Amino acid sequence: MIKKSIYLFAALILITLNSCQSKIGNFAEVSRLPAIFPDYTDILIPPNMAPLNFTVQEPGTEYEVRIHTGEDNRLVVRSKSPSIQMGINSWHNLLKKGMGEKLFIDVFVRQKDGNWQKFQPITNEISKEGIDNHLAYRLINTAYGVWNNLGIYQRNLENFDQKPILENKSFEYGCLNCHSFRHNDPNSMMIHTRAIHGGTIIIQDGKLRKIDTKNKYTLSAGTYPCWHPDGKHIAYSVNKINWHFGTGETRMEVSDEYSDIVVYDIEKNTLTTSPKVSTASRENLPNWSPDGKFIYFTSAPVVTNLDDRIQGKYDLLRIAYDVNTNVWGSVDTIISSREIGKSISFPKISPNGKFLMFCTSDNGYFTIHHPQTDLNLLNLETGEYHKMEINSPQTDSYHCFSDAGHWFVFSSKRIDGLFTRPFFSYLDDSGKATKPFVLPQEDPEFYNTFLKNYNIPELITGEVTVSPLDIRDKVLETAVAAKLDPSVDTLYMKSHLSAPKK
Amino acid sequence: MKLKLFNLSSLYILLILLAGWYAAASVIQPLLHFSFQQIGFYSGWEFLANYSSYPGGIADYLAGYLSQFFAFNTFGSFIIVAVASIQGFIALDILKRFSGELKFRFTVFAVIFLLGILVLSDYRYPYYASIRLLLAYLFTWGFTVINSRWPKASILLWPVLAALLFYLASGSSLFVFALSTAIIAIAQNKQRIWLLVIPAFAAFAALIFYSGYQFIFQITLKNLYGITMVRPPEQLAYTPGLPIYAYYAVLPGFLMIVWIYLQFPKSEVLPEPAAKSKKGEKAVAKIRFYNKDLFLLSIQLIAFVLLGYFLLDKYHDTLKKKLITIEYLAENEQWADLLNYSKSIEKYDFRVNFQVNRAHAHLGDLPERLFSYPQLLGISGLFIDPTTMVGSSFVPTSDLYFDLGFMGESQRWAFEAETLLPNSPRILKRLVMINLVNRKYQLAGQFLKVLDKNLLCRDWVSKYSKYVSDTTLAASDKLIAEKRRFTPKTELYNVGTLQGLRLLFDTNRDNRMAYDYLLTFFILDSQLPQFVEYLQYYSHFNLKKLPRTWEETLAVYIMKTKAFPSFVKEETISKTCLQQFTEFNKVVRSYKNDLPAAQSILHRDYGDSFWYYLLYLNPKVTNVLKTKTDVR
Repeated sequence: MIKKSIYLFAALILITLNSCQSKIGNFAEVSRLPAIFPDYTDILIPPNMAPLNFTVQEPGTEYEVRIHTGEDNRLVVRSKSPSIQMGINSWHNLLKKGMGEKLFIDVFVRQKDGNWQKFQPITNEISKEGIDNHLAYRLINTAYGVWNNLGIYQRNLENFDQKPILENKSFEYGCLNCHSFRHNDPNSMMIHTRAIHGGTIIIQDGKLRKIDTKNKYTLSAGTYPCWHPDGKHIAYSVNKINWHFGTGETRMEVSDEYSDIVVYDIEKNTLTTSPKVSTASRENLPNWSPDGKFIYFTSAPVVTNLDDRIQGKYDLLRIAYDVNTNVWGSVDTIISSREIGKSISFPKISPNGKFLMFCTSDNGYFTIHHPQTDLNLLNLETGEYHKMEINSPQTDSYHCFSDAGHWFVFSSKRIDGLFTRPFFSYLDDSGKATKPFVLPQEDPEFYNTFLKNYNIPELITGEVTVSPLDIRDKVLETAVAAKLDPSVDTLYMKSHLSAPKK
Repeated sequence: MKLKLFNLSSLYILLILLAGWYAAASVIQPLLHFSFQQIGFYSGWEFLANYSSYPGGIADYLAGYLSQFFAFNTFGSFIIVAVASIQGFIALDILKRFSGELKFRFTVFAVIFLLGILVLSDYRYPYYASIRLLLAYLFTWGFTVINSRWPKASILLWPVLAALLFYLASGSSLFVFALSTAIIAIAQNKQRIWLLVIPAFAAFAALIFYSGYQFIFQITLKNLYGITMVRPPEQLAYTPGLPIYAYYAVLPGFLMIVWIYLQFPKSEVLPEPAAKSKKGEKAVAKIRFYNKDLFLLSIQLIAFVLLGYFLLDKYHDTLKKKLITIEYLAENEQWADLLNYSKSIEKYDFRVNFQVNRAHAHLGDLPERLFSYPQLLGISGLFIDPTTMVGSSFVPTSDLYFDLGFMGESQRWAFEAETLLPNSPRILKRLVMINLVNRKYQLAGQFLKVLDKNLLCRDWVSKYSKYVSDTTLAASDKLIAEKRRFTPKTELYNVGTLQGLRLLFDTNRDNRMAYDYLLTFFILDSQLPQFVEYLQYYSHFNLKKLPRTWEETLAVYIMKTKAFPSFVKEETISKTCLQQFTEFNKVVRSYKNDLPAAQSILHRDYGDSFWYYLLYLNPKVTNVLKTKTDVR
């Protein structure tokens, strides 16, 4: 009897509470879109993306948001605060049912006088194609010379879970950077550690190695990496890097005094290079073609003075290289900086081999500090290229294609001009990209108080399952020195490295 | 009147609590801890999450919450005293349960209390070490209570308490807990079987360490077992010394002593025969004076006072305190106080030099009083080279560039500082101001939103949040408006200090501080032609007469070139100055140019002149740059 009374009482409370949240009857129509943050309007959404929580930036005392694709597929969020947060399961059900359809967001705002306003519906679209379900990135502060807490993390894009891949607090706050995956595969990964316990960690199918890629015939340890599709080779640039601080909008410039390209053979633990990619010019940022037959890279003229070094522009080149026979082809210029009037960096080819996305800036290659950096697209079949329509007045830089090749992520400072955030867009077969949207967060105000930058966003098809503790243990070990491939022309390399540098 | 032991020792404890509070407030000054460590505590889950991912993080979080109140010197001292005394009282209770009535109750309390305060005499001391230890005391007390009632249950509960304590307060606290509880368990339970708790506790504690490191936490082994953690920034790198080791060892130490004492059979202290009493009076046994409570307690009190004085004198570095005070006064722009206080520091220090120059510049008398402080490092005392100082000079450098109106450089060093001290409200405030000057209101708003989560910054945030929503307020703010006019717009790379100062002055000729610094740079670097080149702009500032150091430098230039620069009028340089320079040269000549011989007399009459600097203090002469002093 008592039990029944409790149930009855609880049911009454629920009914009362529910009736308090009265349905919106009359409302005034507002003939514009509501202001929301982040901007999730007019976008294409991957069907597996986490809820796009947002803040309604309209004054009011209560908010109701109706998200729907049709009459029978809707999600309603009612909130006293302008922060609209959706349940993960109901959001995914909504997207799953509405794949390929328009997604409407109706925003109602209750005014102080108790009347409701309805804004013009936000119209988005749900893609049929999903995005790789994880994103790996480094979180760093905005400093240029020092570092403190650093970590490489992976975020599950289907929800809000972020897990560390490796944090530097586990190895005495050394530096770690340039994480790279073989074709979006979380099981083939590499990370550099620097300053303390330095080396290159290579992870393949749960097996870890720590390599010292510096050799007396190379300029430096491997820097900017790219995995060969076979998973047995990694191309690196080797660079002599310096920092220059600016007084204007470009607060810092990173430039190379000299740089070359090398290829590391994981199985043989050997490094190789060729006089064709180790010239007096500055070869940099290698990227394999999807068939693994070519290395695309950038190159800037030899440095003669500091101004050259900072203001120099990079061309886009490629060279054939057969990893099986270790035979290098000849260098071919794909886009000349003279022709384009800009400096080229970060060439990345879409997995289907059709497009090459690259950054352009006024000078140099370290584009993240250049507000004028834009993304460009080269159609490798037609040779035509264009500045992408998704660019903003702020920095739009480092990018990575998803495994299927249409979705891509890129770094952008478009929100506030200072902090780098990952944005997603869909590239169709004609080379047209959809309006980008920022990585959703559980708290939609997250980006207004988060003072770290998302560095090198890399899409991956699953979670990196190797434990951060296993990686830490490997980092703490001594690195195994990479050997020089016997085919390398050591006499040439010796004279190349000893040539006077300016 | 008969004084009971308990009451008397309580009275003495109260006395030392008050003395401790006074010492903490006046000698240690928690405000300086707050300022030096730039303590910042923020509400919200994100901030807590940072502390929840490593053993000891929760104690660090609590310590962060408490130590933010160090901003208020008296209240901060009260917190320090409260935490130290809670530890003392917990220890007393543990020992009482363990051994019955305590004879040296006062000493036990006083030693723990003293150490709890003494550790703070190092301004890099991380306060979480005290809170971690407090948790160890609480857990030990909990175990003692349970063990005294349910001994077997306490053994089963021990691993749970140990694991929880390890997570809350890290390895060193676990060590204190394990050692203390092992002694308590053996002492409270007389059977020999209880001796097994020693290997059992040790094994379990080791297992917690091992599994924590190997399977759970991304942390170095050293940070897992150390009393304090080794982590950036370098300027706050605390080196554990004897006080902190004693602080952590004192509870198990006392337990061990008492336990050993209890092993010996007790001998009754026989009172002396009672004196013959008068009729009707009770006979009172005569107690030897050294067994009297008052005597014993007074001896303990005297010993405590002497020990406290000796230890504070030994471990409290007054020079460090003074240097931090200088930095604190600069942070709060108390320039006149800074100059006054700097006189109390007899030893040269480049940080004092840097801030004294800044103070003079703010008060408008840098060119007049430049050499009132010995400029032993030349231009390195004017601008600290932050690249060689790994962090400790980032904030002052950012502040100086902000003063000068160079927002790009100020922001650069503020970001470097923010990386090392991400919770520092001072740095976030600097970033807000820079972005308001740069008209980047959205970014200013973002930093303000972070600061708004700090309890102590609410008023400041409230003031400047209005600037973000109403930009006319920013435009009419005198400081912001001035910096907007002064900040350079030209895009240049690798601008050095000198080029930066030139750029500032070329950007806006009204920038008097940049002008003063530019001329001072030339003076300290003995670049006389360049000094004269820029000196000609002095008339822009409506100066009727040149300030002292400019006059003195100009006099040297005139002597060297044997000509007056065209812009120099009769009234530009005073006759007194020229006469004094002639006198100065006469003295040098009278010693036949033997400079070491002439130094003493020249120092007496011209020690605060450019001429003396040129001959004796200029680092180009002394080569002292390799022996910079360090605040540490």
